[in-house]
Amino acid sequence: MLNLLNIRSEAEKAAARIPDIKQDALRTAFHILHGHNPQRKAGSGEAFWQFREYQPGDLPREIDWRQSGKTDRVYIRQTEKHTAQTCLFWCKRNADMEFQSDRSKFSKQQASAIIALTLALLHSQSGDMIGVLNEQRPGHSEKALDQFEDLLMLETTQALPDESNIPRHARFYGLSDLWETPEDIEQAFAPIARRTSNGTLVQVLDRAELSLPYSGRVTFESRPSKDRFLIENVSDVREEYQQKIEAHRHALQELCKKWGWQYALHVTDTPYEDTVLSMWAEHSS
Amino acid sequence: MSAFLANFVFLNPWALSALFALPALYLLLKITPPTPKIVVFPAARFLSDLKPKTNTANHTPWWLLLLRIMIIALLILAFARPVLNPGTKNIDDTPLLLIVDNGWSSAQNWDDIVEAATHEIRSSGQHSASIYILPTAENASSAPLVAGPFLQNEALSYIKALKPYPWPSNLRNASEALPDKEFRAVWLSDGIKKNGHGFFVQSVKSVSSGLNVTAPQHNALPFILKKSKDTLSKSFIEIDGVHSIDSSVALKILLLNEHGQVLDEKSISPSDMQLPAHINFELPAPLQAQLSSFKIANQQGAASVFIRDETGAMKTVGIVSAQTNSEHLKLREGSFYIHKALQPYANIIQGKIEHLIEQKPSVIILPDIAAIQPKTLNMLGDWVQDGGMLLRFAGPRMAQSTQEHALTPVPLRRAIRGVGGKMSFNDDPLQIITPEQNSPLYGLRFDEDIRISEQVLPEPSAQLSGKTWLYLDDGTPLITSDKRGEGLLVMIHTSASPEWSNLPLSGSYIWLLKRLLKFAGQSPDTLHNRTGQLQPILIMDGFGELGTPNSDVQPLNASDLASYTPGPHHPPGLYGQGGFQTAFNLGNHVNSIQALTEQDGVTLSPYGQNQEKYLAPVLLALAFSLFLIDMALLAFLARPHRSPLSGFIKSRAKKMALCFAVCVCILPAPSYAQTSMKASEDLYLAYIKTGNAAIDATSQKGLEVLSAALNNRTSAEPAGVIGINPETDIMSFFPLLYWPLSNDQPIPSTTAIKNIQSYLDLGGTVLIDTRDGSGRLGDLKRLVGQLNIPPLMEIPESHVLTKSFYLLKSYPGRYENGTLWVEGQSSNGRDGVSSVIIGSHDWAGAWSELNVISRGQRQYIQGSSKRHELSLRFGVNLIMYALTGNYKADQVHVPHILERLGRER
Repeated sequence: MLNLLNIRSEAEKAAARIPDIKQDALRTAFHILHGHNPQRKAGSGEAFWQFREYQPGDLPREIDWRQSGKTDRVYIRQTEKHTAQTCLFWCKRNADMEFQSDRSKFSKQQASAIIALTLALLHSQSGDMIGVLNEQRPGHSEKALDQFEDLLMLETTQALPDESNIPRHARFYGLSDLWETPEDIEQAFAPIARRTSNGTLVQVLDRAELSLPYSGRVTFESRPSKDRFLIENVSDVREEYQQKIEAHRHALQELCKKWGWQYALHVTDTPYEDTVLSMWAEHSS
Repeated sequence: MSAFLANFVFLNPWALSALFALPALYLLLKITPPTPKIVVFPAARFLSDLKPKTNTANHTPWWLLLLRIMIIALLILAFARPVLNPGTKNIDDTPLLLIVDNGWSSAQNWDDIVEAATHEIRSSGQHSASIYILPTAENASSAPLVAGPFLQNEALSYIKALKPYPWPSNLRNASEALPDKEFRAVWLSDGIKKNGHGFFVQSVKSVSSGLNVTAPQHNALPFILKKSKDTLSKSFIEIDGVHSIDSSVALKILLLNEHGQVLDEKSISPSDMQLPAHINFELPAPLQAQLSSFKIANQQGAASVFIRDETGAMKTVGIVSAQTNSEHLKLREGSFYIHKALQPYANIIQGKIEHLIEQKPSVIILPDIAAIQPKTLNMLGDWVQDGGMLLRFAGPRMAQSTQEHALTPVPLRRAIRGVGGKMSFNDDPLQIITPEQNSPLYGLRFDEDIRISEQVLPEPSAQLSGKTWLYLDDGTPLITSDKRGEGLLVMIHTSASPEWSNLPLSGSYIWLLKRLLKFAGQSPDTLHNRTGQLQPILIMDGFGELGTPNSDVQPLNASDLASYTPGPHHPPGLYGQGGFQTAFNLGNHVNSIQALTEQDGVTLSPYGQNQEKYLAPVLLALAFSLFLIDMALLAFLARPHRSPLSGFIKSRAKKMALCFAVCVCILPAPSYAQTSMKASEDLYLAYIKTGNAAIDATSQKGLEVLSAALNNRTSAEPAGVIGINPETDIMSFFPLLYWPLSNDQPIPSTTAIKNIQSYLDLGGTVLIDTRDGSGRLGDLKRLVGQLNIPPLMEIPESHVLTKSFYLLKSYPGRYENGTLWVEGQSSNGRDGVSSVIIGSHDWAGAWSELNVISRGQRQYIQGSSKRHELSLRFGVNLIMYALTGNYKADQVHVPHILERLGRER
């Protein structure tokens, strides 16, 4: 596209900027907690699963001698089957997200794409499979990352995610400005919430949407719905508007708590490493 | 300013009444408020029901109002169609006589003349055919000078076709050509007073009631270049023009070579000079030789160009001096006198003959040389043959030598003839007879006191009279000449020094030598044909451009060149014949230039005074620019702050990108099959359809299983499996082709073989599977024998295929055993990848025994046993090999591979 920003390079830079020590720690933490998705059955993996009595047909090298030495029987140590975790992303990419006020370097769509790609990079470095919800088959190769990036930059008209076939316990990230009514949002994300509790909703906002820096006589237009609202004197209504916004955000946070998901707010004029770090810090703690 | 206002008229005055509506418009604009700024805001719905307590004021700023009122006012004025200097229309019916000067002097202001003529014709407003046009310069045709009667558009096209001529106007002819009618006469003059002016004015006034004369301004009158000469390292040209020009006129004179490149230039200010004036240029001899014309840079016309021929250029003359010059004997040397005589007119070089010839002079002069070496004589003779001119003088040394004089025009007698000596008839020294008309030296005058006392006589012969150019009064020749090849031999039978005559002491010596120099470089034929005709080579048109002559031009007689004046049959230009060229310039035939003034009995009005100017376009342009400013201001004001501009730009950029993409897609794309389109976008595994449904299904399923395995285990992620028909489909998108063979398969057609062959040649890899497990490869020859398969060998243990992903020791398919054949020597252009791999293990059969299950977005392979696992591993190795080439064969991998091998063992 004629978007002169190279999302990929920004994301790489952001991923590189997260301090190395912490990143390693985080990665380890990931492994321990999530990432090689525990399957709750025996298989090849790293984590211990169970001790089972030896039966003909098992490989002799699986015998755990220490345990067997404690009793008369011969026990085999089994590890948990781990497969790579799937992480799915969904970004809102419609006309609303193109909004960019003069004080921000990026539009909301670009910021959400960078954050998503940064997280995807970190996940794929840890071995997880990443993909865009409903649009991409998850993979961990370079090709998957390229496809991920391309899909994120495509414009759609969707405001909320469609019906999806998300694997259970997969990691889900939803990035949007979440200006829809809380009921609509609940309806759209509920199916995903039912299947996995590892979700994060990131609300990506522009500074102008929070602070309303206009003055005088202004007509506000909503691009997707083409509704127009004329405000005679914007400075007067600013405080009321901010109260409304806060109430909406509060409702979203309640929703996330109900599902066991995380909620994060990103304003486009703040550096996105902070948002990514804070999201990870929450996970690893 | 008052004159401006006086000549101002509105063609649509009623439109001005709309100006009264302006105040009403002002009130209207004041009342309507401007539209509020629009901001695209995603969270707009939160603002939907908020009401502010106070309203901001809304009115248009006063300067915006003023701008808009001015725009409307200008539009109204423009619709009223104002005109400056409206032309008067002629109401009565007298025919119009348009006298147009189109001689050489009109070329400078020709555009003004044409514009004025067009204006006159247009405003004459006559519909009957009664416009007469009289050009004052004659043309080559025999038609009468006055043209007409014309209708308006006929007259316009005649004026368009009219051109100035490079010769002077002839007012006498013009007076005689005046038709006998009542006219309204208008004379578009070039401002120069010509011969016969008074008579012409009188004749015109006799047939017309009044005479309007338009002439260019004094400073716009043309200048003329005349006469040019070269002296030693200097060239000069004479320039003439009307007097009393003011100092604002500046001229630049250019010196051009024959290609039109500028050799030198000089800027002059005619007001500082006394015209006619000589302009000097410092020009070294090599540039002088290249000089071909002078031009006044900012003027046009035949008068501003002066062509040069060779007669003006300085020649190089070589004087042979055998001995070193000793000062006290100088006055006795002939070379001294020659040098003195020719010095201002030619470049003189002195030296030995060989050195002179090297420097390529036009003329070599031998003043009484005694003996010339035979070799040098030959050199000199060749030089003369090639076109050089050799001028010899007689003298005592020459007479004394016993050498055969080979390079003389006529054979000579050995003896000196001295007047008063034994062989003379009388005692008085001889005088020179003025040359006759048929002599090439015709025109030279010799002093009365020249006496020749001694000479060398030629042998009498029949051709002597034809070769003699100058006689003495007793009939003996003084100067003889002969042509040799392309060159000329001239001999003066007396000495170059005053020993034998006092010719070198007289002024005629100089003219004689100068004259003789002129013959250098010319074809000998023309010398005796100077009475011949000089054909036109290049002629000048009225604007000073040289071009090929047309049929009206007649040749000039060489003998009386001076009597010609430029005219329709002899325009200025370059004339010549057989290598001899002479320039015929206008400037040399024009006397002084005088400007036409009021005192010559006419009232003058300058050009450009009575042009109509329509002001409406100017006003419209002004209104439009104000409108643009208004739009810019609106756009600027409509932004609440700077924010939406970037969004605006981005959406515009997206729209432009979309348009571009659409345009690109509209371009006709070659019609590939759908599968090829799909195949070109991603990695696909391919198999060749054999036509046997079971085998094809097996291949399809087997490759699908393999692609699932690749997706799970490697970074190669095939998007699917495609079966291709070798005859029609494009194979170049696939890195590997799987080709199962069977007994009952038909032999592939030649098209298929050709396609597969080109696939192999271009770098593809084919896995040929005979599927019978035996390794006998019986069918192979039959089916594949027409392919150009390189020499094969059994796969060695160290082949890359064994280690390209997994470390393999066997390659089982459905059959465990069998040999695998690969290409013999690694071909360089393919990164060592074998183009053909032949086996009999039936891998697709093994792979197709597995099942692929999709769960969510993952694919799992079910039912795998060790054998299946090994065959899958072989498939993965194969694909990785085909995709990455010999990458794993690099030595850098060997330590790791050995380590892994060691660990396993």
